[in-house]
Amino acid sequence: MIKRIFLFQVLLLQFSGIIFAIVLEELSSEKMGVARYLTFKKQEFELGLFTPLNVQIFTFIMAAGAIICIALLIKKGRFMAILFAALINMVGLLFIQLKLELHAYHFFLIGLFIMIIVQYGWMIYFYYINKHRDKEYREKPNF
Amino acid sequence: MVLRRKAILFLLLSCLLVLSACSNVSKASNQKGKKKESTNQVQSMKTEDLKTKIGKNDWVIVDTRSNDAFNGWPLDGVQRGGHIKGAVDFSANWLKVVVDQKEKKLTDTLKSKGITSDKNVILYDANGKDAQTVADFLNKEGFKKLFTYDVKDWAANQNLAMENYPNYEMLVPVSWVNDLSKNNNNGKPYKIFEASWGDEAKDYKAGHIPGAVHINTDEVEEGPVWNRLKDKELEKFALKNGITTDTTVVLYGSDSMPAFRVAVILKYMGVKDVRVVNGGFTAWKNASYDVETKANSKESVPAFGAVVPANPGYIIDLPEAKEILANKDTSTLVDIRSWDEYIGKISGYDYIKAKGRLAGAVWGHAGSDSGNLEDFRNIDNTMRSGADILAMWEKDGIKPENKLAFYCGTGWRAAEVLFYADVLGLKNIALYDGGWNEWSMNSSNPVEKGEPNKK
Repeated sequence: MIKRIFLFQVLLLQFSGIIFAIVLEELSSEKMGVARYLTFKKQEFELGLFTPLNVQIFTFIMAAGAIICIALLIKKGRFMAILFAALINMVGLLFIQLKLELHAYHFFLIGLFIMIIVQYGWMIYFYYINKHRDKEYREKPNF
Repeated sequence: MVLRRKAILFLLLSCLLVLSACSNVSKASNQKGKKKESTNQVQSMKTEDLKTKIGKNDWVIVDTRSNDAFNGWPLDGVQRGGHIKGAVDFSANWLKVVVDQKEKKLTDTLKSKGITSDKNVILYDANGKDAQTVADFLNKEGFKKLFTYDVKDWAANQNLAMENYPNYEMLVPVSWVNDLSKNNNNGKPYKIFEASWGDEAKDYKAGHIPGAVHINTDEVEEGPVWNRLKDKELEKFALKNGITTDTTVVLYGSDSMPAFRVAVILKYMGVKDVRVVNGGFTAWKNASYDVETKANSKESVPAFGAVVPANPGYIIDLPEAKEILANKDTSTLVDIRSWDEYIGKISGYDYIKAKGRLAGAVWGHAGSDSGNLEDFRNIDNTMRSGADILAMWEKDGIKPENKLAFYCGTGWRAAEVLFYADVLGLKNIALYDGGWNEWSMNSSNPVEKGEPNKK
């Protein structure tokens, strides 16, 4: 039970960034304070976390992540966790390349980063579970 | 035996009933008497008597009409607009307002205007209702020495002094706006705008003055500094909205601050006749005029009629603000933010991190927070009286004869105060557009925090 609750919380954390960005984007057309805050944060992000160099690095990391995930998919076959990780990486790449006109643009990117990082966690988790199952299966005596 | 006992009981009960009824009647008649007595306390005054009371310390003359009439508009059939020289304002309209802590706010207002129960209070109006309404209120507050007066008599005599603000016409009553629509401004071009933030203006959609067009404040300013747009862009804005230098522009909003912001920018651009509705849309609704919900589209014009800005001194920028700070003897940079923002306790905004004030700026009052301006507004959101504003500034060492540049966080509150200063006829005034937001973006600009040292 505790394990399930923990896993549910991780799942919630994975999507929290994107949900937060969607809420901010919605509010930015309704509340002047939110719109101005996002303009201020945009400027702050462009001078800090999302400088042109950092954006290039993020693009490279995401591209590499997508390639590795696709390679793993080909090697391991159908594996939902890897497929999803590859998809988020590609969506992230698209987000960066298209430079969408969103008030909460940088918050969407941060949300995607959170999703990718947590997804890598899921991949490792599922990899160990499967490995453990295989081991158990192999160790089971055949009657 | 039982029948006898019942009869006695019935008799006793009847007596009790008759007695209690009598006591109620006497109570009611007492109350009636009291009420009659209180109404009797309010005597009407004649012009000759009133003349002898002006300037006496134990007498106070109170204008109970609307704020617009006090400012200078000849309303309710008076021959001359404005108020009796030396009179203070306490409008009967304020008693109808629904706000939190209304009683406290009203009693504080009475106190601040010197209307105290130890004085003889002359209440005047022009409609025969307002003075009595205020008299009833003051009676409840314990005022005994009350008098009423019809200001029409005073206004009819040209020899008797009346005061109005030099530019009172900039701030218009809703009746004037209604007449403007009805008579089509006598054929001259005019536009009515509802100013508020956002394309999806909820306030505008909910209902607006018939014929009004929505202006989004983002049409005249842009982030991250939130200064006015460049002059070329402002001209485009004017053309898109059908505004020329000769258009009579009337602005209003549910909150008037955005209307004042746009008004100040239009005056800077060179529009000659810019007006703001005193009291905003609430005043329009309270007057029960028609309200329209259909969205009106913008009608463009081909030319503005002048090079923007035709009135460049009305809005200044950072270099001019520094010049003002350097010439403290003849000019003052006036901080129109809350005290907590001024002393650097808070920034007042989510999108401004820095706290403090421009080094050398003088506090010119504002309100409880960055969205309010209570120190310059009456309880019904009309403009506070000029005497009150100037007295407030005098205490802070702000001299009206100096060059005054007002600033706030991003130029909304300061724009409203600049407009009021203009209404009062102050000559050398400007808005420092960038305000604290722009100033604090450059760490080399000198900043002060804490309470100022008084010399």
